[in-house]
Amino acid sequence: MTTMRLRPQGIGLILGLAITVGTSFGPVLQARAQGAAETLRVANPVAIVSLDPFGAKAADQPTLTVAQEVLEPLVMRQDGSIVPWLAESWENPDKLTWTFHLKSGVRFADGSPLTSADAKASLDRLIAEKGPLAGLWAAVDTIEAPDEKTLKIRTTQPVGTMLSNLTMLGIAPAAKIRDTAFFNAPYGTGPFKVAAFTAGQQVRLVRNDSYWGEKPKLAQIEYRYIPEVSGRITALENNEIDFTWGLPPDQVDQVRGSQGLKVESFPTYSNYYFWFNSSRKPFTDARVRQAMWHAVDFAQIQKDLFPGTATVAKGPIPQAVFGSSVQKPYAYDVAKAKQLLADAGYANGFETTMMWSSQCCTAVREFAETLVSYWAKIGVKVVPQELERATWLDRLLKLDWDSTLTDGNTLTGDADFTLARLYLSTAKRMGYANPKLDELLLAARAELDQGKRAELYAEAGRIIWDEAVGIFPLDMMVHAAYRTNVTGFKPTPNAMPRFDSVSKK
Amino acid sequence: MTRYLGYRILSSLVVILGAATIIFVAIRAVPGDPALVVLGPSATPEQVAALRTEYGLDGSLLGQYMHFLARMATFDFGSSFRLGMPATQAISQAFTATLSLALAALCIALMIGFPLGILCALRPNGWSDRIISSLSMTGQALPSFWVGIMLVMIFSRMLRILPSGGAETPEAILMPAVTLALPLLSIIVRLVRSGLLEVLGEGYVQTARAKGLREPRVVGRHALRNMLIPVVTVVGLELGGLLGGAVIVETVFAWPGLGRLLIDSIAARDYSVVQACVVVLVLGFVSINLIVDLLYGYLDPRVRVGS
Repeated sequence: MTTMRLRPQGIGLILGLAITVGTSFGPVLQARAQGAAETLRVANPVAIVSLDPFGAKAADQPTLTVAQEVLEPLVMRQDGSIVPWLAESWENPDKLTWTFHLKSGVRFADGSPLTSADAKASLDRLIAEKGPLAGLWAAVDTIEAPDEKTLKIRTTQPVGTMLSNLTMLGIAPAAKIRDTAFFNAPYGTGPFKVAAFTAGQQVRLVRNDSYWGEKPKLAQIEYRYIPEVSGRITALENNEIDFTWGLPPDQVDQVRGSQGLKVESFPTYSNYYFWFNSSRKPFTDARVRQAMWHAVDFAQIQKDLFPGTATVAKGPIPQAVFGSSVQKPYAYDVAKAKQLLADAGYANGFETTMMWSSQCCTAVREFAETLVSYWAKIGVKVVPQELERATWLDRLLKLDWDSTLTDGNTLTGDADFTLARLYLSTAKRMGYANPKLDELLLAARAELDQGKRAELYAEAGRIIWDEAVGIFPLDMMVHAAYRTNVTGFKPTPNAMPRFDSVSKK
Repeated sequence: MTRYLGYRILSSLVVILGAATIIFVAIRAVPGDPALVVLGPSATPEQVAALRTEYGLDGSLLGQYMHFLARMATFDFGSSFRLGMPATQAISQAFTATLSLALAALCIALMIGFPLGILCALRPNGWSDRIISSLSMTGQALPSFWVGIMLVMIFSRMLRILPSGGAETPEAILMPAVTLALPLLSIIVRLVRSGLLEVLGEGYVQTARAKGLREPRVVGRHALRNMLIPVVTVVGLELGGLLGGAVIVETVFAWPGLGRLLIDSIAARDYSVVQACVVVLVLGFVSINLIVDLLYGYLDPRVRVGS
């Protein structure tokens, strides 16, 4: 009988619990949070999982996008040329020595002065962490800080890329640089400092009021990760965010037509490219590779798949990169392609495979399928293999593939980053080896005269292009979309938008 | 009762161990290298090898497995390769988000589903029953990604009264919770309806009526609690499903929950987080089942075991 009386309470317990939980978690209708005029709300297309630009994420664009507002480099690349930043001048006493003189009066956001010991500690850590950018500094012999304002870097061989490498090195305070907790809310000498960070979800930056340069107009920047493109566009149209970028071509027109929104498209350091595995038959023969290039009408593909969102490439690296060059175009010529195949002994074509990563780049599947149909017309049957990124990477680096379609990004804005990293025969990236090319690339890396470097890269680019080590179809544009009350945005070709000059009405 | 409980807890532990073993093997059987994913295509073989050592992936598989089990015993899953924080920390944030979403959905489903089910059962085949029953069939059939997108279109784009995603504001939970609740709500309506109809034909209900009790009391006190067992079973199982199955809703609404964390971690071959996610989900599922089974005994003394 006692239990009988308890049972209605059991029902009450469940419903009561339900009501309590329901009211505490949720349906409290509040006035929709409107963006304050001094806060820029940004939705990044890729999750920001770390704010430490020295370790494993040193080449990670989402990490660097935030880090560049916080940690500043010694020199910066502006409109294609190198300008002094935290270093006001530098000289080369000899070809193996670089002496940098730091600007006076620069302080970190905590008030401590910037010294050459901070610059030394930052470079020391980047090298010690063995992350993806450590390779840029392989020739560094010693790093010294003889006095507070002088930094001396000695190298084992001349390094022509020293300045462009330095644009990638943000300076953090030496006292904190080995403290991993510091990188949950890092600060530097930059216009903003980190106020809050939840890995993979959100970052909030606040203005550094003691900034040495021109103070930013924004008081705060909030970065939020919205994985779905449609979600980002809706959030933008709804005034939940002010700024986003990385829109796929097929969405750009829709946003362009929306009231109160603006789309800006600008050239980048990124391109699409298609590699042959030149160590595998039949791609060991340059004529086969050239035939594949002549067989595709890339101007038509650009019009059909990438209108206003990519341009037909003129060389193996995008035109915005230092060391780029204009090469002789491959005409769309099916007869010539067939002739080249016949000369190489493949008059009846052949069968091969092409892999790509599903997460590679916008419209990659449509692009790949279009290529397959063009190649079918010259008797080359290409079996498409769409792979998950981790699997694709694994096979790519093991050279376990026939051909691949992918995108590349010349992160430092310097031809060396792409050409010497990938095309030296010691890199073993696509099975192509050419001593003449190696010689040019190494000479360019060791040349301190930037004019001569540009000539050497033009020559190296010509070999890669004419030998068809890969097919270089399109240079990418990046599309930033923002509300029209956002002003002062200046696009940069590294596709990592900066907001220190931006204001919001 | 204690012996039964001990037995149930022991068998739950076996289930968790089994799941942990399967996920340990499965995630390593998938091609792809976590070190490579972190370093990206510009990595050199030396860098990859160095990072593998740092991650503890260069030892034998058996050694790694024993290490994993030993640490799991203290609820330590190691550090996330991708996020650079302990896996348990990454999970606890995401688990809180998923749990709030699942509970909110459950509340909506119970609070709406119960009254509607009762309404149907009171006048079977009446007009209200027909409308509610057919609507609940529809509700169960609609795919959640479609419902989610429709809600966004109506409430975010047209009416502009709810945020389209994220978890920044309290009302942001409304649309994902409703989307998640819809199929469960429909199941509850139908279960309550059929359960109540069955019970209302029983002798003790007639006795209650014959005693002169009024209808609300007959339904509320005598009939309703006797049809709770199937409802509790289904709700328990569904709640377990809600924890792991919210991936689609979490993606549509950019809800920072466990499902999304799991998908991102699998793509990055972030072994420690994948293992921790699966173990936590299995633990949740097993605990809910255990609670449901114990609730039976409370709701219906006939089911009590071992006493």
